[in-house]
Amino acid sequence: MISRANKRILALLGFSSVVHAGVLLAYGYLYPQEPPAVMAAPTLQLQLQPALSQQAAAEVSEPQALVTPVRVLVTQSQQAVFRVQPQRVVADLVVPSPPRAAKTRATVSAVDPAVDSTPVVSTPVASAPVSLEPALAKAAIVTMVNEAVTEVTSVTANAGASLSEVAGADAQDSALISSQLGEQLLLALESYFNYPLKARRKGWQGEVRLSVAIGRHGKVTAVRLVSSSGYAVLDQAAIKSMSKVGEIDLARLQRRSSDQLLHQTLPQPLQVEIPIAYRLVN
Amino acid sequence: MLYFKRLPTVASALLPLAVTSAIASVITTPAFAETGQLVVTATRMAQTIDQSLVPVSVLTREDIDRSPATSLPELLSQLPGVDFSVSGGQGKDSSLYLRGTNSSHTLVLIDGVRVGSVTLGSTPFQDISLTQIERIEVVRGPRSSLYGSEAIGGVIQIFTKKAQQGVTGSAKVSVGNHNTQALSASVGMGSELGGLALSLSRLKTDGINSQSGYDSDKDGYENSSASINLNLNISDKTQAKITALHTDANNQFDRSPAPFNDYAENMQQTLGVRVSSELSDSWSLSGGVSQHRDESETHFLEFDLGTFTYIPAQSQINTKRYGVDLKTDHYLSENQTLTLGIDYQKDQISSSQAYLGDERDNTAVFAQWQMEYGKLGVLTGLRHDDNEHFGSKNTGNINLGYQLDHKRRVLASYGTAFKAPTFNDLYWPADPYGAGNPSLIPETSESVELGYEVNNGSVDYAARLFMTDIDNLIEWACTADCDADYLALPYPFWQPSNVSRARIKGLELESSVEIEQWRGRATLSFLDPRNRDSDNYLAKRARRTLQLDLTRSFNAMSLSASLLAQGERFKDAANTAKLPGYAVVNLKAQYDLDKSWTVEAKVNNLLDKEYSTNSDYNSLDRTYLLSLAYNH
Repeated sequence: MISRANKRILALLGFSSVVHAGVLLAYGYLYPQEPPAVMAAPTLQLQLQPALSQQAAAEVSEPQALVTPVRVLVTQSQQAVFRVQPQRVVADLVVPSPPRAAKTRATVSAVDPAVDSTPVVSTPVASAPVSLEPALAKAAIVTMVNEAVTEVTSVTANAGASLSEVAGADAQDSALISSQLGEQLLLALESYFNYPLKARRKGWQGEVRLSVAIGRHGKVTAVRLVSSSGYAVLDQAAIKSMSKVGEIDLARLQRRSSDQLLHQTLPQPLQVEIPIAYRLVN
Repeated sequence: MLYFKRLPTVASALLPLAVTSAIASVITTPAFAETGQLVVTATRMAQTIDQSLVPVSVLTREDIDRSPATSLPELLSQLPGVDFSVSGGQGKDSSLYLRGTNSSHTLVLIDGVRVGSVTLGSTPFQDISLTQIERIEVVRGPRSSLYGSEAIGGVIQIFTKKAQQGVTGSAKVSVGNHNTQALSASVGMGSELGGLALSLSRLKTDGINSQSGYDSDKDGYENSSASINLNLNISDKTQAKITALHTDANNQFDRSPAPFNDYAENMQQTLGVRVSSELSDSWSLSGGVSQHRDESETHFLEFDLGTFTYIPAQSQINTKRYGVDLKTDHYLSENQTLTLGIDYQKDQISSSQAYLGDERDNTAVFAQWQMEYGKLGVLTGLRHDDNEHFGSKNTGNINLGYQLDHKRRVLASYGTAFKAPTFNDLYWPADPYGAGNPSLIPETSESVELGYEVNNGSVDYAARLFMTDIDNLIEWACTADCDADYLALPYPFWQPSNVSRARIKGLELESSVEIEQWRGRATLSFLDPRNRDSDNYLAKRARRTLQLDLTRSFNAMSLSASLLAQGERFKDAANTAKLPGYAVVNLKAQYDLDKSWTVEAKVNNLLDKEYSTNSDYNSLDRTYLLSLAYNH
């Protein structure tokens, strides 16, 4: 016999299931294959900053911003996260990850001119006039930010422009490559990294900075400790995990970007700096 | 909250929906997108056992402050696997059936000290004031291989409030219906040298009539508690900790004919001293001594056979548990630890009743090894207990975890556990009604569990399937003169024996969310707790439980709601009578007047549901509690 309260629980569960099913079906109908645009369409911003050391830096992630209208922002930032060493590289892309991979090539090319437009953007906020000479101790960072971030200057991208027509294309190539490399790296690394048992047990947390050398074929050729977390166990774990990565799949990278940019090899070896934060949560 | 009031069903049905819709946004924003770094996160290791391989629910002080719960049983009732059977409102006897096991099958530790009554085998959760608590860890599944007796259904560890850095102070005054008044205050001082925290609390309520069919007066409850927590950093490698918790409760209940008011004065006191030292980078040592006292004085009317009248009587039972332990942790490598330990326990009783035995000791050695190798995690433990009364007992466990990817994990475990017979079972003095049985052996259990966990950062899911077999369950039954009645001697004579077997199967589905200002948790549990001989359901366990919690924080305000819905349960072992299912909604609103002053309001049992989780006992109707708090 089903009691009143049982009926209530069953009704509750049933109702919940129906609501869920309904919502999920409607959802699947409205957004076939693609997860919903839960976040507001993000804006791509290009930030200029005095380099913290001698090099440029940028945050890294996946290229969702590639599909959105691009705005370019020139400002000062103390955030130096992703450092690109080849002297010619001046900009790195930082974009948050898309729901699932990939937009089309067309969308990628929509970004390039925007990135490219950086040099002509005036810099009302930057403390010093900036020119994008490769060897300059100033650097450009492309950071993905939400609409909420205050914009200083914005330029709408010229989606039709082709890469080759744009001045400074070399630099932009490298920028895009390194940003995508960074993204690839982070994706690849996620599964390699784990929290050492000893550190977890002792409650150790901290940030390890590694400098990683990547060969033209995507091979991780050297891993160097830039700054310690304060705990040898975490530093060693980070180096060990990074060394295990081996090779970055350039073919995969190519699929995600323009063929014009990559032909299975990088224009030159890269040196990137990656901060790895070890954090314990409750 | 009005929403809830009008449409409880709709609102609660939509809670999991909030969970679902939130996932999408989480998947699109991996940890590094916001911070530009690779974030390697792991769960902070619980102090009781590592929750990466074992299901552990952790409640922090913030969780306790957020919850609408006003008592420990109410707070714990929102956690997976927890099912309480309460005998009549606040402060009344509360039996915990963790994952369907007996109320004596959960080991309870306060600041690492083993607590509970050695005569009843259970812990009076209702007497532990929430105001004294800093943190609670609830471990599900057997853990005898680490802690010995009682850890069949799981382990609950309670930590008292400890000092923060600097000087802190807080006070809170509350009033509510049923003439409820509560007052609490705590002060703390902390520096690099250590810290001292002191907490005091007092609660008084008229309560409700706890049991129908008896004296119809209200059965009140009073509780006074104090705790001291002292930390000393002797050197940067060595730390000493002294903890004390004292609770005095006065509890009225119904047993004797009206107008007599039965009442019990219960005292619990836990003292612990522990010194821990990091001898080297890979070797640490910790040792402690502890004492727990559980004293009760019960006043009631006794039927006198000589005069055939009721005369006032009282019974006094004082139990003590002493403990000494020494434990070392060895870090064999960065991903491998070995824990070795010995512990000695002594249980004592002094009573107005002449128990057949008054003390018992137990010495144990244990080892625990944990390793992580790539995606595989292993935790295994062995323990040997040598008990003065029943001899030796070996227990073990193995927990395995495999990381499918950085978000998903599968878990499997096997463990054995035991529970020593209580002093009542062994040594109850022979009277016309019955006697203890000194030849009893421990109740033993075997458990297996499979789990699947998804951890998306701010949204977590878990599904766990488990089965526990318990053998040699102790049951009291009539052994002589069973056809006699109670009109003349001899009466039917009862004695306990190891006769019964149980099999408990269960499924737990959990989900928790933490997105911006929202925090939510949902658990759905199915339980099949059966006596293996009769195939009857075990008495007083709900077979279905739904627990929902939701909190929304605003700038200076936070709103919380919780729902506990449980299916029917049987009143008795013979499965002849049922207690119907019920649902209870609790609400809490909190508003910060300024940096120091806060007002909060709680409404418990919002729908004023009449229900019972134990025989003819009543549960609290709609209750209100208004509080003003000061924090410095």
